[in-house]
Amino acid sequence: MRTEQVDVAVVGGGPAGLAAALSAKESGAQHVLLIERGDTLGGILNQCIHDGFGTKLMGEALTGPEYARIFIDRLTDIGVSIKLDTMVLDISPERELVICSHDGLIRVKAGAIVLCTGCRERTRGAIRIPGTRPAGVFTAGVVQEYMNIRNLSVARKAVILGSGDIGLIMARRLTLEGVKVECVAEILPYPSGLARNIVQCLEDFGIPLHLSTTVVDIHGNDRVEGVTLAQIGPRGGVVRGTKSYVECDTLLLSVGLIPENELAKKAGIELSPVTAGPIVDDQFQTSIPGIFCGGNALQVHDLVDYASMESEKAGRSASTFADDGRLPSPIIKVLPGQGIRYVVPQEVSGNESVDFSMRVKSPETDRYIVFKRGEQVIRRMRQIELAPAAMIRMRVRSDRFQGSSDPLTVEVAD
Amino acid sequence: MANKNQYDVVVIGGGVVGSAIARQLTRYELKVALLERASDVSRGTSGKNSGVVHTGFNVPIGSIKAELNVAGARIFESLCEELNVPFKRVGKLVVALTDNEIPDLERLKEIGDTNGVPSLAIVGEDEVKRMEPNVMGIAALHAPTAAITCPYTLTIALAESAALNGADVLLNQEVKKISGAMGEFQIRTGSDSIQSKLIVNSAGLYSDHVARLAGVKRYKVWPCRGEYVIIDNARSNLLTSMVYPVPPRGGSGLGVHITPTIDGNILLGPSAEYVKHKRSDGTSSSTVTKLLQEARELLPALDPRDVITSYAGIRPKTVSSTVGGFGDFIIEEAPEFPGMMHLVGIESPGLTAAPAIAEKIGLWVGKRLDLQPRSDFASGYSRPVRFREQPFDLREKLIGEDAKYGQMVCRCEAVTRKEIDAAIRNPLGVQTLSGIKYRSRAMMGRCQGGFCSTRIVEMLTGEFGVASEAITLKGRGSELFVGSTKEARRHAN
Amino acid sequence: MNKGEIVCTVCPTSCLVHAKWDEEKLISIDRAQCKLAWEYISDEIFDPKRVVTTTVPTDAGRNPLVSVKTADPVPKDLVLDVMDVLAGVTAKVPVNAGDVVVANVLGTGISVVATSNSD
Repeated sequence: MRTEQVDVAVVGGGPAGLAAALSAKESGAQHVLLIERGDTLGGILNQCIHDGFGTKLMGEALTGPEYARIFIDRLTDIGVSIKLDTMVLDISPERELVICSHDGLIRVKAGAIVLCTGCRERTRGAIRIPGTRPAGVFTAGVVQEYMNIRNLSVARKAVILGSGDIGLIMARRLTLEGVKVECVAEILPYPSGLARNIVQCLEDFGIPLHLSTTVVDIHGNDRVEGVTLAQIGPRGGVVRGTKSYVECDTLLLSVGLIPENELAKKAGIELSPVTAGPIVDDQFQTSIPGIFCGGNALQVHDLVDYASMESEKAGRSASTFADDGRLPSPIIKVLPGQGIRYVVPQEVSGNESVDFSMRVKSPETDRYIVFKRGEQVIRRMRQIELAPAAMIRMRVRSDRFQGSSDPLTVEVAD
Repeated sequence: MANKNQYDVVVIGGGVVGSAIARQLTRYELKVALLERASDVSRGTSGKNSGVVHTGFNVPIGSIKAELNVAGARIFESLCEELNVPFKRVGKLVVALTDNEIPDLERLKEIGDTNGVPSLAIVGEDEVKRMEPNVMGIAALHAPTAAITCPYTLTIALAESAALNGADVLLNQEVKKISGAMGEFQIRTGSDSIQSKLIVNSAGLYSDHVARLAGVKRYKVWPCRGEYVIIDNARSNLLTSMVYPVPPRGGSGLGVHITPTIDGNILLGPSAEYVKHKRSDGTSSSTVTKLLQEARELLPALDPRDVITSYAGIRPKTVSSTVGGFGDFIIEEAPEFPGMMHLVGIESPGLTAAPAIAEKIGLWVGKRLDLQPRSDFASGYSRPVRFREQPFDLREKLIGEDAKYGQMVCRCEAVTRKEIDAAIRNPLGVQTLSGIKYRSRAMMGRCQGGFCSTRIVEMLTGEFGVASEAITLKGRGSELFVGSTKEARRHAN
Repeated sequence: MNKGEIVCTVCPTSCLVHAKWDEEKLISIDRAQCKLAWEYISDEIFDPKRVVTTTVPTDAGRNPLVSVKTADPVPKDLVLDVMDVLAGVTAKVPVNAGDVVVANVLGTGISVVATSNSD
């Protein structure tokens, strides 16, 4: 097997990997290698032809391909090595990758690695929808790829399960292309996606949203003929008398994203059971020295801008590590408190300002997000709308860490 | 012209038994046809079971099931070797959780010893812990010769081997009418009319229906559904052997089996529930929950989040739910219609028994027709190497020989473009997504085709020139696409 | 005097703005976190507009589709009409992001432009 030595290897060429590779190179790493399993760069952005990307980073609402193009152009100009159609088969804690393409296998020895392997969609099997196994049950992202990249339409009449952003975006996309979207069903009592998508994808087209509702049966032996919807009570059981049959030929599933971390597991990286992504510090370094992580593989994002921003930091850290291995050690643990489901990064050095990402457990209005050390408040931020579906970002300046290594808690307070 | 549709033996039903029989018959100078009503072989019960090669301690002494189970188990491994089908002797533990279950273990051992099962032994708690550290149990019956295989891979290999040896495997052919007599039967399908000297009815769930087409009304098959849960192969380190609880006597337990699969997943199940229709192979959430619950009594480390998917198969039972109890294999000619052999009620241990059943049917054919062995019978069956099972240096070599090995299409199961290409080029001409899935393992992993199915569709429409509207999941009626992206908009206008 | 709660969709923060308006203009807004909300809410009440993003087929090349968008938001009630126009359009390769695919769609003065490259 051939061997290649690189300073920084980035796995995944989507919005996270693009940002990490770019920043690693811009931070001084000489040989940066970006490894992508598809035949183009851009990852999921290539099929996200709707707009809303880049409002934070670029101040404009771009479409997915336009957002990706900005990074791709800069990458090619700046001399990052790119390997497409290449899969990472193996990874070791000593930062060796085995990659595979039609050229054969290569052992890549990296000074540092950034894992930007994104997410997969939760499947029908994983949420155990009972019923028959006809053609016509798809996850939303797959239909998006067929419609937007491969010029194939799967449906004439669809029901969408899950009011996450992907489902909402596809509700609009299908409707625009003449498909009848009967309704969107959401198992929770509140929508999972961004409010702007509820407006622009459902309300604009009069598509009904049924909350506390799920699919309890799929009908049709060869192709979907219909689904049975039912309301779900507060304890998760079907509410009697609420079953209704909806005729359709397609069931689109938008029931969650799962960070893809098989490589991280292979390297022995410690994962958080809440985020399903690696536990990281404020350098976005994982539990294995020299291996960093950013983007959807770290935590499922709603805004691509934040995925790119945290990966940009991960890339910079990777470059520093590859150079002299010296990064500030994390000494302060950051824990989710009252009302907070998780906070990333989970530990910080206290030397630098940190942009924290977090999600709340349930929807609320007009509260404060509070960082505390014991009973002492070190930073407070007012938040008008708090929704689990909308990641909250909060910067804590370095001076607020005040040189103490006591753990911090983040909570929702009045 | 007269010869085209004339056969010596027509086998009805492309399950593991029918395919094994067809292949067995191609060892001789016989014109053989295998008729299957679905778009591929193995689409019935043969594709939806546990893949277990049973030893024969859980079938009544003296039954046909016992005889054929033990005979099949003896030759199963060499058959798999011939056909390049995975086979692993993982052993089986029937575990007792309480003292009062221990007499059941002894009872099973006695049955097994009498039936001719080798090497059965009862082991204590320490031994159970040593063999299976994650499994609960105070004692167990250990059957070291029990094995696992891949039932659909075997069925496909048997049918494709039969085809390569000259049998006509006729798919999408449902038998509608059987007339005539031994030596000159007439079989009408939806689109064809064929003649045959002998008929083998191995139509599984529909064997009673096929018998009735010939005027034989004595058989009845009751469908009994078994649901399974598939656990992620990332958890394959949880156990090595099959682990079963002591069979429940009455009571509300399902007696859920925990079976490692040949591909590294773990199977929980099957349940057992009589259903009204032979096509009722959907799954139900309550059963899946129950399977998980019961399995965790034996294997507490199981986590609901590791469930990839669930599926169900339907057993052809010869006893109704009210009568209950044991129903033996029925393998016989009906005296009112000689020349047609009926195989009815071939449920578990049908997979294990299949090679022995095939030999038995071969002997039956030999009594009525002159059997000349073919010198050019090709017993072997080659398939492209499984890339993911090879060490790195061999993988490098493979890519050097064919660059298609270097392109990973199914990421979760590490299946390369070469393997998918070969799966599409199968000898039976099956180009459905299910057919590709069962031949290559693509789409069977964590993401259930989320990444690779679009790429497989692209291969089909691209280099294989299949029209997008013709791409199906499992044959006519299960088409994936309605047309191009703008199709519905144009249609709506 | 009309009042209502309208989601501002200028940025993903999606403030739920409490607005008051009369027959011809926006009077006041509350609960907005930035200044951009005013114009958006006003438009949304009196002159709602949307950017249309979709794809059109290409006539050849590696990509069967190219993604497109209206260069500016079009009146909301024209969205499906824009889709009808695009149902009959095929883009000639090569297409580059920014190329005009349909100029002045439906007389709005707004062009439909490519948002990706197709060769």
